[in-house]
Amino acid sequence: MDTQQLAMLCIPFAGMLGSIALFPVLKAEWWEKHQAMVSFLWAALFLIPYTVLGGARLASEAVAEVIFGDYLAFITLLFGLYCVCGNITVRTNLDGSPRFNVLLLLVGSLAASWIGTTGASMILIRPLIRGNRWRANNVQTFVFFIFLVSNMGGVLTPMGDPPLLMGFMRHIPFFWGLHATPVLLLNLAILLTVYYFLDRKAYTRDLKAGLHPDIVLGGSIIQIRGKHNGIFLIVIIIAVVLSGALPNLGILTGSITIQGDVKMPYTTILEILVILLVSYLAYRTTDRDVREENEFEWGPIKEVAVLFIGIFITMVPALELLQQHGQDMGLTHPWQLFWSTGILSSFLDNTPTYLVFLTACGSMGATSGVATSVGIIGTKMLMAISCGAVFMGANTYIGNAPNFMVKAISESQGVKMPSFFGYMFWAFKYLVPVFLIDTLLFFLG
Amino acid sequence: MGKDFIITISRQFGSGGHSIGKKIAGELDIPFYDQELIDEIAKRSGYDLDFVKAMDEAEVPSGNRFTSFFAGRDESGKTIQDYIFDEECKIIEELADKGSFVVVGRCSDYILRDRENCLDIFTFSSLEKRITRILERYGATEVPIEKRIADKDRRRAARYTYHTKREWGIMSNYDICFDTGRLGVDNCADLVIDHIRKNYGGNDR
Repeated sequence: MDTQQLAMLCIPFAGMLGSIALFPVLKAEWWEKHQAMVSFLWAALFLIPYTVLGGARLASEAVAEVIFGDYLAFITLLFGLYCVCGNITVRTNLDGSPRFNVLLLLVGSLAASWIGTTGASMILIRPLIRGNRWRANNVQTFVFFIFLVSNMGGVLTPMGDPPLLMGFMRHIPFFWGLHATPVLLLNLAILLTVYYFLDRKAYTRDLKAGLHPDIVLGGSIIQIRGKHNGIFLIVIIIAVVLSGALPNLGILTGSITIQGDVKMPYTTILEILVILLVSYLAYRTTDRDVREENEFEWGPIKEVAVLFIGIFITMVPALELLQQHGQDMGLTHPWQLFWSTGILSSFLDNTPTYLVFLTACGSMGATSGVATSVGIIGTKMLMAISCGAVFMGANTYIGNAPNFMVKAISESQGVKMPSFFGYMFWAFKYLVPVFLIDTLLFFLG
Repeated sequence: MGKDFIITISRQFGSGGHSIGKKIAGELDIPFYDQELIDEIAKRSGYDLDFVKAMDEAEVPSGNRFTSFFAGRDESGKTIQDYIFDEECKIIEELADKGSFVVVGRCSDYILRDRENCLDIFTFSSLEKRITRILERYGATEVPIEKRIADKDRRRAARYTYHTKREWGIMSNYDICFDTGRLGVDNCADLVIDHIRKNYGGNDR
């Protein structure tokens, strides 16, 4: 398929994003009921011309690749984390205070590299919502949570964000991501300071309006129920890491052929089964009132499942375009890679975006840097790709898997999250200046 | 016609300060404020009554503890407790402008420290006597009585110090300190009533 045809086939992807952006604002109730229909409609509007142009075999393989290669593992991981973390409640008697919110954001950001941005998000979003539920002016907390915990914090290790896991599988050392520590610390310092002052101002407005938290009298400062689910959480994290690492060690290297070249590795199947089992166990071994305290419901995970199947399918031509032309973009400086990987990761899946630029860099013939299976890559170039892919996933709700999940959970519990474009405005206002500073300090030259 | 006067009573838990205040107010026919002030604070501050009651019992963010550093503070550094205390100060000052009354607790000796017509009392007693009194009045609970007393007094002291920057129970902060265990609650109340009648000529309401 030529470039022009692929470009035309990107229209349903734009339509899918436009629907997510506009329908909740223009026809909220209708959107609530018809998300699935809209998602499948855009998928069909891509698949029909794709089938006509490329043939039924190509189209069915593309769908199979999306579903069995990406979507099933993606949605199962989200489902597992959603179930397990929904069975843990955390209460504190410091609910909603700006300093405590900063502490939670900091802890989440630092944990994200070790338990994944999705894991950290799912564990901490509910305590954060609970703590800030009494506050009327609380939106900044959840927006910055997406910035920091759901995205930036994951930059240090392959466990943090899926693109880095792909890099690890291409022989980038496990702890290489720690090179990005100064960038992460600088960003955390700037964004947490900005957040603190924003939140303190909002907190003052809340207190003056006569709002107040439910205080927890006596007892310990932090009360946790459903603690045993922490074990299930660890099992999920281990399952994800092993799914990526085992084939590299020559264990469970086989796969099931789904269709044509589309295969599902045994390790992915094992990962899915383990996560589903653990989700079931979490549900069965935890008292119902813990979930009731969490106001646990299926709505948010259903919404993510329905919308992301549409996004994944309609995204196919955009990724094909990137694969065809990524290496021809003439990107030779770290700052160019930082921004191009970042901007594309804001709207596309950041894993294939990262891989395209990683491969392009590997073919540049660098003589010093990190030796990977795709070639030697200059240290600054690799850091630019990693930071771009991980950091700029925070630019939109669809930039990284946990973003939309955090939005959906927050909204289901009464938080008035910004619209699609409203969120992008927040990102433009607070993140872009930080990325410019990163560019000046770390990626120029 | 007597002059206006205000009696503030600070007390160790179980030392009978509340009973003394109630008797004085009854005998002199003047208003008595203890929990009643909480209703008014809730009304004025916009916070709900249960919350204000809970905050009255809650720990204040004091010292170098973790909770103190992470307590919610507005742009001027005020906590929710400060907001409630501000209302408390306003209400007590307004009451003091209107006429005589007896008030128990609420740092009122500090709030009204610049008023000449204020008699500040502190009541204390031996632990044994306080235990006996508390068990008679409130009965036993799951929490050991000594712990209840220690917790309550610790919180009162912390709250007082947090809002006033003074130490709770220091005799120089008060005009009279009664050992109610030795003198008896009624006797203490009578001594105060005599003093008021001699110096203020009774109530002029």
